[in-house]
Amino acid sequence: MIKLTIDDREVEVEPGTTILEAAASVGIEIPHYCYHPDIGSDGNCRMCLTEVNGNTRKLGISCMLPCGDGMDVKTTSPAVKKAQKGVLEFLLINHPLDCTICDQAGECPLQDYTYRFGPGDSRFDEDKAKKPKKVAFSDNVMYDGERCILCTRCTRFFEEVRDNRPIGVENMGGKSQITLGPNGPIEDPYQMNIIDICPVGALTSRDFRFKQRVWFMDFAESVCPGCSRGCNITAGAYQGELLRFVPRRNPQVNQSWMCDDGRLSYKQYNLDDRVRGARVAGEVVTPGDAADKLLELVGDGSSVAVLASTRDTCEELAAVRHFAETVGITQLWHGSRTWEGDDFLKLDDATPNTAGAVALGFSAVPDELPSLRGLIVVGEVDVPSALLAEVDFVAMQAAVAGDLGAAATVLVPGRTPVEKRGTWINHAGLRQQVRPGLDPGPDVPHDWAFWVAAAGGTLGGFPELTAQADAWSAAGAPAPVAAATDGETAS
Amino acid sequence: MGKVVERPKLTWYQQLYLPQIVQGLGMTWRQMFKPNITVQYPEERQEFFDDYRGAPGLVKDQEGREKCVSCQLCEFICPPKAIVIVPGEIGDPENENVEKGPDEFYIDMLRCIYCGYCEEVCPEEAIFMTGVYELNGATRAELVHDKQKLYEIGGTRIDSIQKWKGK
Repeated sequence: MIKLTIDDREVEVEPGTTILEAAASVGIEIPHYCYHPDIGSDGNCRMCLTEVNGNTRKLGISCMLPCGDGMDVKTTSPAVKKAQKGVLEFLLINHPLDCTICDQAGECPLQDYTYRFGPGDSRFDEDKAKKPKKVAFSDNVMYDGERCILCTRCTRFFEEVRDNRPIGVENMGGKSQITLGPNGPIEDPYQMNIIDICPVGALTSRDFRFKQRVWFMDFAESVCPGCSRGCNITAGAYQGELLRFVPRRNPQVNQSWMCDDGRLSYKQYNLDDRVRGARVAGEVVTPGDAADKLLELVGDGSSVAVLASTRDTCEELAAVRHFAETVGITQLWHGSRTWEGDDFLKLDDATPNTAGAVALGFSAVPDELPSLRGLIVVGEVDVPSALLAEVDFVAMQAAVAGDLGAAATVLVPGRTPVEKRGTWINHAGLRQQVRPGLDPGPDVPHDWAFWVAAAGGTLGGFPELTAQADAWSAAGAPAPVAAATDGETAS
Repeated sequence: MGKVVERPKLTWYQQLYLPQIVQGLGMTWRQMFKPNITVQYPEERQEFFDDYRGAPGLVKDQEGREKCVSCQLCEFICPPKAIVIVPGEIGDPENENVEKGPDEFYIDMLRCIYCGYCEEVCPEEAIFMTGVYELNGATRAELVHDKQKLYEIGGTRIDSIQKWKGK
């Protein structure tokens, strides 16, 4: 272990740790552009200069400089402040004052650092450099050469994380710019991550471009419902409409990345038409009447099965299981959806909580189907048609009714994955917090509320459900289920 | 319990009554020979000073192009939240460097408090408080000014700041 002093604070780190990482570990922020925790340092932006052992003639770049025993590092000394002002003044020489129309404004490290460390003024009277401002790198990524500060995070992302080089730096000095390689538009399925790591507005999402200023939006730190990897995300919405998912750093799950399919999957949760209010045979009734009708149909629970979506949270599944146990239903099945995964983050299982459902005692639909009198469908599931052939009644809880919901005897409203509060257990047995990014309104209560009420309301509220889900999943978990974790708060 | 107000005691001169009448008539006579300040609205119109804050309007530049870049700072600053902007991409192939403009621009004049913050905050000098003060409509919806109405109110402004030029 190496001991050093950063801003008069004793820090102890492993050999090989850089000064920037050592400072971050004790909560001291050193401004940086080219360094990114998941793609490493390059040392080109010179923003992270620090004074080491009182050497003001030659400041050290803290992202490349390994800690040494007994080092005395200053991050806010007069020499450092002067250097930071100088670096920012140089960066701003050719950076256009586009903030008024730039999508990065509001979450832009160049804006933030200029405000906090910058000179506040420019001595540069000449014209700014002219570069191409609107280059489509692909259908999803747009490049603005004038805004680019050439930190090369984007090219290094492809080199280090994705092992290909669709883009690179061309020309020298003031004429440098990022350019597409000879193979044409970027085709990488993780390409949109370069938009997030770009510290300025040089790379923007063509999907989110000009849709809304970020300071008008509401954000929820949640988990991507796209697959069982459970990438941590921040869901951004404006006035009840979801506008984007961006990944949130969680070194245990997804580092700082997510796949483009997951990122663009937000679109399916902006519903034009959804189930509002409980229905029995198409007639709108109170949720209580719907529950009474369901209990009457279920009877003693014999030859009735529950088929629950693995997009439901552990808490919702615990409530469904509680209901099933109360009325005597023993056949608890889960229904997943699949898509084609890849070798990085995206997994074949396109639902986020299959492990949670298994831990709570739900099993896959058996190959040999028993004869059923009734089927209770919870959430959005692809129901095998053989299951529906002989049943007398179908009860369904869903956000979108579809054909099955329209034909269901009892239909109650459900929430989409971005409206849920609870926990999901990912493929590796990690239990993660899910927070609602949208509020569907009072006539669409949380999914578990209906099942708790229908079972007689003995479970109480959400804390009791969470405790019960905890207990059940711990008892029956196939893999060790970790306590609920969460990624980093967006910086 | 109400407060008892004592009737003021009149002096002997006030009690004479007639001098008070004459004094009042004197005031009337003096006013009769002064110039008229009443404006016969709507046939006659009041002249306002230049900084008068009437209904806000959007302006176009001398080439008839909209100056607003849809940065939404006016929407942000607006104290009663009267402004709603739907930003959009212009997509003009001849001017690729000018990318963003408002698809829709609404100002709810039933909410507007005529504070002029929108004019003050605008980095493109695209929104101005005009001299328009007659706002009426048969429905509430009519008083939500859309982009077309706002350009009608604002008109054209000849000005050196032109986002289409010099880029």
